[in-house]
Amino acid sequence: MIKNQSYKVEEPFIVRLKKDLKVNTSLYFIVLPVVLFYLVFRYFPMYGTLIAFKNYSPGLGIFGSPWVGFSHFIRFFTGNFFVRVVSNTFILSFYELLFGFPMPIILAILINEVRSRRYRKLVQTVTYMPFFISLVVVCGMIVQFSATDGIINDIIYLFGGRRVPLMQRASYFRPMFIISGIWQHSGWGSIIYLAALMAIDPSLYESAEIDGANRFQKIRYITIPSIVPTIVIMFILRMGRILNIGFEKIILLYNPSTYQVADVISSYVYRVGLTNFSWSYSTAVGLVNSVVNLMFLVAANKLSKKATDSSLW
Amino acid sequence: MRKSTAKLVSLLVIMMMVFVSFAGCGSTEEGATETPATDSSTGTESTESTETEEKDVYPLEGDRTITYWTGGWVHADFPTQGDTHLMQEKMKRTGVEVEFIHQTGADAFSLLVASGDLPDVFGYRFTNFPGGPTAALEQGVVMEMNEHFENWAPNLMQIYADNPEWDKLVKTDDGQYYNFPFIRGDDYLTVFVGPQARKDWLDDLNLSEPETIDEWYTVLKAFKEEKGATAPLTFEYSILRSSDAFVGAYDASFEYFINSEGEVEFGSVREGFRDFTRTLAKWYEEGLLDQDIATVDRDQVAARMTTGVSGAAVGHTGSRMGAWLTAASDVENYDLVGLRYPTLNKGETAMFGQRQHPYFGQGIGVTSKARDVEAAVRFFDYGYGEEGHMLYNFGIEGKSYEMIDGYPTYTDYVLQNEEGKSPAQMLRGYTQSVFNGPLVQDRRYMEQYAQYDQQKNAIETWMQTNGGDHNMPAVTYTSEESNAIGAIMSEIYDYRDEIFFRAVLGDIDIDSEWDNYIRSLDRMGLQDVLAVQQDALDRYNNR
Amino acid sequence: MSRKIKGSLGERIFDFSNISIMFIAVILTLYPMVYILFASISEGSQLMMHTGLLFWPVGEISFAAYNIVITSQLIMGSLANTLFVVIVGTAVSLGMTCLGAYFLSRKNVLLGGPIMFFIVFTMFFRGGLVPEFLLIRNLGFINSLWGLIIPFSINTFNMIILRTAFKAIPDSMEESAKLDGANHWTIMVRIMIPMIKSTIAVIVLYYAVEKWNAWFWASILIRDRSKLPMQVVLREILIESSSAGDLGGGGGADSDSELAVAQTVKYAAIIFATVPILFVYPYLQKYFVKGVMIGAIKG
Repeated sequence: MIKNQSYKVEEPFIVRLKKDLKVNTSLYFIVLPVVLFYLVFRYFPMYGTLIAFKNYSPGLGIFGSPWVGFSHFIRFFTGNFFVRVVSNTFILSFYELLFGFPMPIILAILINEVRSRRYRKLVQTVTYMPFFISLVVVCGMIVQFSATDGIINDIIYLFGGRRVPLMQRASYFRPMFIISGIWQHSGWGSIIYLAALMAIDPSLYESAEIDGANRFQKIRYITIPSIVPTIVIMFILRMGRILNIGFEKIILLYNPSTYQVADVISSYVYRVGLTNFSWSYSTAVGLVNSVVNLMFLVAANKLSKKATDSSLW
Repeated sequence: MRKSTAKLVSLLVIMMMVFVSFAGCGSTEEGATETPATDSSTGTESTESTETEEKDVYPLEGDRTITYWTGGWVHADFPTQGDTHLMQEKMKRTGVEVEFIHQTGADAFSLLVASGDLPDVFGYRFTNFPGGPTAALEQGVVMEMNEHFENWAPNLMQIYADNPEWDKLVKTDDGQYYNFPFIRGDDYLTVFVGPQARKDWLDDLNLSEPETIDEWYTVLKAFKEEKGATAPLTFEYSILRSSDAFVGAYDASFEYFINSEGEVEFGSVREGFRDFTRTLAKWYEEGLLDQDIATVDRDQVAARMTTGVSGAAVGHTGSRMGAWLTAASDVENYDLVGLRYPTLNKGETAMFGQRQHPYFGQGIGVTSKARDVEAAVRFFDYGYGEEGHMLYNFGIEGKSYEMIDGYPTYTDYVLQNEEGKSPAQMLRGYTQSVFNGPLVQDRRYMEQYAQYDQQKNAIETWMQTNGGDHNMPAVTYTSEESNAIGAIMSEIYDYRDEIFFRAVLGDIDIDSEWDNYIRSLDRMGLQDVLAVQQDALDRYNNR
Repeated sequence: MSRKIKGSLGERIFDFSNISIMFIAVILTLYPMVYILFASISEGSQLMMHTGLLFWPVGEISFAAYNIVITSQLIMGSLANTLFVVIVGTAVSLGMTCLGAYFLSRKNVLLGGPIMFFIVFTMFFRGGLVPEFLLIRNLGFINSLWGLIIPFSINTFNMIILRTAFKAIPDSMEESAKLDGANHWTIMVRIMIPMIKSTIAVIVLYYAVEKWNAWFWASILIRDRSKLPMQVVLREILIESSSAGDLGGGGGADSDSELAVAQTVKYAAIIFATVPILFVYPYLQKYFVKGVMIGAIKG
């Protein structure tokens, strides 16, 4: 193997490619439908991003619409709310990463430690249920439960606190958003880690037991290291979505009194872009979004390659 | 190895070619079906231009089909609108087969327009179309109807001739017709929102119906202290905004309006708006205004109004007042009363209040892709004739209504259904007056749909404002104008809402924020918006 | 000896607190579901007047709302459509994803890296709604359930997860199979896929759920209401009559004519649209058995 590689360095790419295609023909046939799928359904429509530099009008079509250069980008960068929506997006995303990302991992490890198989199944099944409740309903319940006469305030009141209209206070918006996200997605998110945990060789635990390791030590030295590759991959992918906060939940939860912290890029674009049929403008903002995301992804990938040896490409 | 590379590449190329030709094929095919269809419709145009009696026209001969896009449709009894008794009957009478397309997705319509993949006709609120009706015409989303109306829409043209004030509303500055409008056929139908309160509480407390802001304060305080209401006054913000209740007392509003000099102003930068905000902030602070005022939705307001948490609200006659009266029917003495739009001094009339123009932009447009324009026009024009009017407003005689002394009376079958279905649910199967559509809404529908006397009285009470004098009509913008102000307008609203709520909730003090608020709005381009609105209004007046 | 007792005391404390934490988690996640269930069998008019929590259905228990849901042609028809998309779509997706993931997991493939980037790139750059819609339309997928399956047959995220699992299988497996004369197809189908059953189960779950919950493209592509999947119908019921209806834009929702679907029916529809997919998971759980795969896990 190693010998082979040192050969390759000397040969020109085209020669190596020919060799490779011959050696791995069957592999390339396996991937062919996949490549075609991406070419047709993902790459072909990319000509559509042209409209970010045009004033798209349906009557004229994508190619017939007039060029406007970077004016949509300039409008976005110089808009009245640019700084606010971008910083809100980063802050919210950062909090989500900080608190939301570890929760499924913790949950998976704890579930894994439950001994009764039946109880474990119950916990698994129940915690993943919220994922299936429609966002509209979830947000309706959040608003209802956090109202001054809702359950959350009932509990606060019970412990001698003052009733606070939680969803109307800018300072509570982010916690509410993050916590409800954790509630809805942790169980679902833990599934992938649980699958990785199930793949751990039981003999590792047995030998650890013989060595006298306690539960915490087993978690620390066996469980966590075993799922690190999964965690890393999930983390890299998460970094690539740093600016993607869905507008739907924001729009269902925010109100004028919380705009200052709640308004993010996607909700802003939704308000001024999609509802006004400004396809070009929203495409331009989407493009900015993608570029930033890609930068984060590449950075995270590089970092992880250095630190943990697992990477996407 | 050369071979396998070549194979791979050629295979890829072939796949791409197949795909591209496939794509091309789809569009040519469509083009092919389109052309002869338009030919045939222009053909019929020349032969049928002679005026014919209604009875001779319907049902149209031959195989006439149109596709009709109408946003969403939810009804427990009918999968599509085409299955309703109303549409079945109308299709039978007109001889036009209608294929309904219902799509609710937020972007469904946007995508329909963006891709040019248009149905024959569609229902929409044209004033919400970005850039307004003019833009819709320019982009070829709808076609200009003037000539087609001349040819095939005698009923609608008659209505326009008889009602020049409607005629003025439904066209563009250049006199183009662009849709089959939904028209509220009576003043009585243009008012349907207003303040209301628990009548039984007022009587218990020996309080008269509040008319001024000060009296409201007394009443709300009494509700709180004597009746234990924890949120004496509540409302959905969107309703407050569209009705201008309370704010109208201060000669201010949430909208652009026409002042007494005929100039356009923005109601939320008037001094009165500041006073109004201060008052609400005080009410909020004292617990007279719902503490969750920025988030309460329809269901929560309903729960509050029916359980004694709240005693007063702003809302619609039907979906609010009527619904609450029904829901609380087993609460002892529960009663609601519609209250006058409050003023500052007794005996005054509020400057603003909810009142809609007879035409507010809603209607059915015929798209530039329509294959059988005549069928579409004939189909909808029927609804503006004598028979069609009755059909749309009251349904089928002998089934959903009976003529009693010349008055079309809904039957018990629809109003008191044995299976316990609500009148609204039944009426939606037989009529379209209960929501909107291509028709002139009849006053006699509302007189019966409002089942409670409280509702009927409320409408009379709510009509007593000067809102009608100040309302902006459905003006149309040029494409430059709409490009210039489209985004600014929504940003201005958002900013106003933000400041308003933060002030009411006590986050900021409106008096110290006011100058900054005005400056910010100017910086955002308020003056430009006003200038454009003024131009549009002037053009409208010159129609 | 003493260490062991100490250990087991620690173990017991650990177990106890772990079970308690899990119990709280269960209560917290379960309650909203229970709330919806209670609301769906409550009495409509009383439910409207109810504020605060539900610990039992209000009014007389009534299954009238479920009756409406079950007798609704639209909802039952949409269930069949959804099942078709979920079953066929998951099968197609799983097949395609396995192909891609297996390829990407192989080492010493010259184009492996570039193709990986070629694929990951599409997670960020998409052509946008309009050109994608035009493409799908031109391919003849409009108003067809296949239009919800073929253009969405690979979710890159899932493929990466599956690739990670393939990668974790020791190289020696491939080597020894090759010595036995097996080709890549055989290695993938016969040897590797059975070894990563638990991840395959996760991928099946992910796809099934994704397809079960999908509504957006269906709401755009499907014009014939008898072909609508259930989520679109559910959304109509939930959103059309709620204040979130503002999302939709058009329509004349400002008049008092909007018709509210009874609250109880809304809740019944949620239960009806949620319960079937909940059963997929417990069924797949049997694959999550310890020791399905033996060997070190390395990225």
